[in-house]
Amino acid sequence: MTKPETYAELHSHTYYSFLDGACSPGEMVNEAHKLGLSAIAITDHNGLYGTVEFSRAAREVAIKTVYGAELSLSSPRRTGELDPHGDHLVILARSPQGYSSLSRAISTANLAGVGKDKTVYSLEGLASQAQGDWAVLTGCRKGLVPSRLINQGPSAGLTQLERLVDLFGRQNVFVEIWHHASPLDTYRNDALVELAVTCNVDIVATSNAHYATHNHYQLAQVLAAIRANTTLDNLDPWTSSAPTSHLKSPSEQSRIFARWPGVVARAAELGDECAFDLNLIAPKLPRFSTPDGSNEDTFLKGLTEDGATQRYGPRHREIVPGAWKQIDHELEVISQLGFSGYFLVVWEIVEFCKANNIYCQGRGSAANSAVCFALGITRADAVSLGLLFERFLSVARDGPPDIDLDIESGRREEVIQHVYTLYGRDRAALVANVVSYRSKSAIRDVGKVFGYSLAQIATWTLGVETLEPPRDQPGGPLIARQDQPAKGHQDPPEIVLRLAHQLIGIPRHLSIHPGGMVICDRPVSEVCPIEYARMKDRTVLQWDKESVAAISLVKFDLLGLGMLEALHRSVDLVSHFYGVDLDLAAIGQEDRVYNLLCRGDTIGVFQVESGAQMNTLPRMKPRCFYDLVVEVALIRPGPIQGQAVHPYLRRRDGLEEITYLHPILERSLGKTLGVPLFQEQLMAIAIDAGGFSPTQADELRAAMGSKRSGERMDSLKEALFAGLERNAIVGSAAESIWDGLAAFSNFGFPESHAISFAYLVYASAWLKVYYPEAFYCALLNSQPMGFWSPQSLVGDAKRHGVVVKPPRVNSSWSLARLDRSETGQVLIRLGLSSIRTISQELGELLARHAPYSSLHDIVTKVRLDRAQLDALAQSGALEDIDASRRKVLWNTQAASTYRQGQLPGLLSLDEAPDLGDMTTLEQIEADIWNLGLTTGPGAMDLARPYLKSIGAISSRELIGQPDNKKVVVAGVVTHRQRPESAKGATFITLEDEHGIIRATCSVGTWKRFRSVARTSPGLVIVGRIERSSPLEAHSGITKDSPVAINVRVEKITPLSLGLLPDAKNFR
Amino acid sequence: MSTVNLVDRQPEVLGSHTSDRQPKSLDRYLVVLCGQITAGLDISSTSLELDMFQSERLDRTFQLLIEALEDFCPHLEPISLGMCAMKARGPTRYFGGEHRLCELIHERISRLAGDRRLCRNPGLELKGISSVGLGIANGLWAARLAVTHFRSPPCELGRFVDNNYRGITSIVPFQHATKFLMALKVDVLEDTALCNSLKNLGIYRLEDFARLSRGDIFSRFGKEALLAHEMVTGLRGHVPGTEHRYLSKPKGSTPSPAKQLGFWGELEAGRSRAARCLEKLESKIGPEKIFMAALEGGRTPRELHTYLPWRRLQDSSLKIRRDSTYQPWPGSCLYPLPSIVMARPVPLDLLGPDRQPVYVTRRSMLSASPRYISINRSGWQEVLNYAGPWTQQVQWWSRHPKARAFLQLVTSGGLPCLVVFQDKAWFLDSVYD
Repeated sequence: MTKPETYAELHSHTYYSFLDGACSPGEMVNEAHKLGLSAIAITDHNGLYGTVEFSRAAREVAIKTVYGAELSLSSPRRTGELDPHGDHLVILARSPQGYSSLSRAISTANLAGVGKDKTVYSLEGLASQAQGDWAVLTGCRKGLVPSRLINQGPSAGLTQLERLVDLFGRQNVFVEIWHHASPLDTYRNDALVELAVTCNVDIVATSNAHYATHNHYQLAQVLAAIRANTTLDNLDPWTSSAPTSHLKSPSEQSRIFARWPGVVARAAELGDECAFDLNLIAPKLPRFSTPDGSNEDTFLKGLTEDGATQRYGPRHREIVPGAWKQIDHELEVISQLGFSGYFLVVWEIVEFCKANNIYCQGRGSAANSAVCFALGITRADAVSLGLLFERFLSVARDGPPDIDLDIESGRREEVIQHVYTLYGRDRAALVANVVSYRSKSAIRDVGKVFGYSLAQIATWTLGVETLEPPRDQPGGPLIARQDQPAKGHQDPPEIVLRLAHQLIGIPRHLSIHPGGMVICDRPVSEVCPIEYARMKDRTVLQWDKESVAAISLVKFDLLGLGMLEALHRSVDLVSHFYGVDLDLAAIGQEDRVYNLLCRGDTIGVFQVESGAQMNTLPRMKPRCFYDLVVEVALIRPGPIQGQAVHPYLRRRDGLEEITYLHPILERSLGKTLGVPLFQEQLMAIAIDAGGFSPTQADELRAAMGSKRSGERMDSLKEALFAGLERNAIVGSAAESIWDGLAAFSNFGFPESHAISFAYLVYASAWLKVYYPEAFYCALLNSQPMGFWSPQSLVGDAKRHGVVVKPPRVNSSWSLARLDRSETGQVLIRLGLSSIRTISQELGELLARHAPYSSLHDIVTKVRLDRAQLDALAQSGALEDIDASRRKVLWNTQAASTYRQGQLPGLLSLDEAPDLGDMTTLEQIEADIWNLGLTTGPGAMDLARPYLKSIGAISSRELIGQPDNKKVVVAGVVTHRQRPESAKGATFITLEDEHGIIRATCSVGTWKRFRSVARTSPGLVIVGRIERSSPLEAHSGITKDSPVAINVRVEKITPLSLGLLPDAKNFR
Repeated sequence: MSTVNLVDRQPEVLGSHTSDRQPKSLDRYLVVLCGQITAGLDISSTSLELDMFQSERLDRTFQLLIEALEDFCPHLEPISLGMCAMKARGPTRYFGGEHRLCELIHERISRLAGDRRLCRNPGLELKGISSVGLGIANGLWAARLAVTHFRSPPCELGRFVDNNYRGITSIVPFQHATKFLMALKVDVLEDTALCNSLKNLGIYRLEDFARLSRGDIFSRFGKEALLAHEMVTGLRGHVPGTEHRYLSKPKGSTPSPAKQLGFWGELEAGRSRAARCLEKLESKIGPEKIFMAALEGGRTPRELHTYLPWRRLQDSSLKIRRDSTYQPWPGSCLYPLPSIVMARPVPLDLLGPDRQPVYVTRRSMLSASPRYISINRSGWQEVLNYAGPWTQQVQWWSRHPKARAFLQLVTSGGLPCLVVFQDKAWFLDSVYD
């Protein structure tokens, strides 16, 4: 140890090796820096998942970076195996070109084997893509050369090494030796060195690191056991016993490898050769293929002008004043920023949807522009609504614009597949989502590898909060315990808790981002590898949205929206059943629809069906479209916490004067009565009062929203104050405007989103008023979606006079459908697929072969197993055949043994013994168990006589009760909610046979009745009435009087009703 | 009790009401259930929720309990961990009635629960037998139900409470046997699929189940259900083969593994003589007291062998030889292994060239090259060559974590040896011969 050694680590894994690395790229880089390494390579398994994090962390400590990966040449499946098989090969990129070709090689192999974990790498295939840009290490004990050496002897090792040399070139192949303080290491290294000398190949020392320091050893073993899906005890004979797979300093490595001179120095040299600062150039948007003679700009211009002529009238006879000026301005900015292609991509997707009759709607930042309106991407007319274009697109904005497309959820897959087909899987990919450990999952998995039973582990996780600070934060993650641990909660052993703490934040696996899709002009696979997701035919990037954003890849959000599906189904039902073709874009604004909204009669209506929204509507009393825009934005955590709701409603009711901090704000805040609600208003204030340009205003919004650098904020503040001063707003007035802006920037909801949503609010409310049968039927067929369970939807339908009939094998289709009774009344006939165990396909098969005359008839036509027959019989679907559900049920066992092709008559279905008929309660239970709902009288109907006897009133009787009166109410719990904005209060929603009852439970009351209130499916509540408008104010209370009634809970007792549908708790 | 082969026999229709038939009079059984009597409502079996440490300990406790109960009846039938049964007739006569018998058993167990032997690891052991239920009824199955459903009306209930012991006695009088069963819910059949089917058909209690004809039962629910039906209607005491023999202790009826015949029908002479000797010896000093060396999986010479009870090694069906012998055990000491393993590790001192003590750092490095060694303070020798350190941090998740590092040494005055650094000190582990 005479001269200071230099050393570069060439083989290390981060937690992006998914359960085979214990530390983040940042932790590895920082430790490498601390140890004084000259460079560090990250070589995760089969991917470049950590590239962005790695390069960012390395830049911070100014350490040189080497990019690489350890590829599993066969059988890349690594989970669930004690000792995963497969030959490994470590590849280091020598240059940015090397990085690109590595990323492409990984993608190509992933895409070649269709499906997750079906990747096929061939050594020859890899070599053909190397082109001298890669350095190849022989790798760990599973490396091609070492594994053959250990298992088959030196000559087998030599054969493989020669093969590598032949394929990749002598100067690119390096024999890797490592030493983990295990007896075999020295022998193996000696043998490897001999192979290298024979073959005239250079040798490098590595740490073969799987964690940063020796302190991570136990965590690494826990991860290994999780990966193998076994206990630490079982894994013991297969796992490393030494805590030595950590990064090592140059001097440590020099001592360890003193026996083989030069190998540490050679590692440092190779590190130097391969190090480069990765500046990933994000691929651009694809060049949109435009008709001959036009470029993207002119093509977009043409399309927009055609659309604008249709919607705004010709240029010189515009219907909406200023429309064409706005169009010209927007087109100019779009072309100046080079985003014409972006708009064309979105336009193309929308056109695809239109051509295939898929409902979709643009939303968000860039969507609500005049251009998007003209292109038909959105129905929100930006010009008429006075929307700010700069909110989403300004010359100063660095990122691409952002248009979200809401697509009817059942058909989103078609759109995604269309994009893959159009642009190619190497150019279009979904964004990944990294699923990391959180406190509960961490405790669960650590408990499992320690060999504890699931029941025992359940007692530990009972009292654990799901929130925790991120892993990188000082102090590290904490498993927060609830103030009041649940009954039966136990503390896990200290060692479990300690490792669970360490596990939090470590990626568990990769999943798919809900909508993000990247579309590029050249293969994005050259920047980030693409792989198959678990879901069929989905290919995803190896990066999540942060990584994607960090290198400015353009992302399109294609989101699934259940309500669009429900609207589409409604329109189809109306068309098929009534022969009326609706155009939801053209329905008029009608009082009847607003009456319904004012009543808060909004179960099933988009966005305004939650308890809080239903409670606000009678106070809000919306009478026009813009009221709906406000309503959508108003009842959100932000405005509620920002105390904006009550001032707005009071001003609306004329109970409070409408004032402005300064008259100049009236222009921007006038439409919301002086109460700021929208992000766009923040910008408008800055423009009107502060004299900002739209671009500056957008900067301010971005700065305030992200709370970025104080410096930039300071200069913006200075500019704003200067502007305010020009408008003679100084001193405390200026300060309070600034404070107001800052406070409000946290919760403002984009007006552009609210407008898009408001269209769906109106359309769904309109359908509920005019075609309730079709509307409920469509909602039931679009489940799961929305706030209310199918049972509540059916209950609401019944209360609106809609007849809902249970599924019957001779009259149902697979999905719910509209039908007419003998008297000609329209009714909803539930579908066979709503029965447990009956899939949509099976439902269709059953419907196709109907009608049936007997059980025997059914099984000869459609093959059904015992569980399916039982469910059909129990649910009453076979009542068409035999009125006694029990009698049919008795014969399902014998019937299920029937096989197609069996000679008829062999199956003898015996007469059943006398089993009695189901009681009404038993029938309700059977309905709920098999259908999740009951269409006949429900449990509450049965309980009513009893409830009357204890003085309980129904939801219908609530409406006439005066303020503060003590009442008893009862019902089935549909929701328990504790929004953050409610300061600890719990909202309980009950449903009885006549409607919905909302109750508020204070912290104290909740504590007292916690065990009942939390678990009992039915409740009797004693409490006091709270009315939004006092009874005296209205002379005649009618059903239509808009009033919100709430019960302030004083006492809770359980109501036993048998089997009930599950409530939605604390979602 | 004869087993009926139902596959070959057509189900006979015996009339819809089996209570018309006179059931055989079944033997009276007494069932002992160790468990926690929760809130006086129910006894939940201890064997349900045990972690890996607990079950091992309860096993030992339960063995002691069985030994104690053999005072009352020599033929105990272990059923599951924490549950055993005996035929009640003999002991009842001998000890003067069923109630008296139960009282005496409770007394005996409560003494055991207070036994010092069990208090060495307080807590778990006592938990196992600190509350015990006894049930007597016609047939083994009914007796089990008598313990777990002691609050059902026809049960005659008795309590036995002591300092650290709570016992419950539940006796179904002979003449009420049917009444007791009929009132129970079908859930006691412990067959989830069958119970669900029955309940869906509106059959909630054993009474309703018993009312169905044998033919109906067989055609709708199959053979298993018919067996259950026979238990319910008193035609059968319990379903044969469903009770798990729990104890590993060989029982009278099990053929002794030592008497297994060789290929030619004879045991090899020497082996059989040895086996007979050992068997004799065992009968004198007690079961599981004779040990033999066996190979085991592990990383060090010390771990690679173990001693196991001789009888267990004979019985290949017990699979005591762990497969772990053939697993890779990364980080193991390499062959050839030292042939002499110290019975107890011998302390030694190891110094570097500067005569400072050598130690192994947390990063698995030696503080200095070892130069001088003194084993058990027997004078200094020179270290001529060494290999290592080889670090092992194993079993850290268990109650016996092991963190250690090995060195292979060649010294000036002796045989090559393997030394180990553990708890900040060096020991001679083994010697290469």
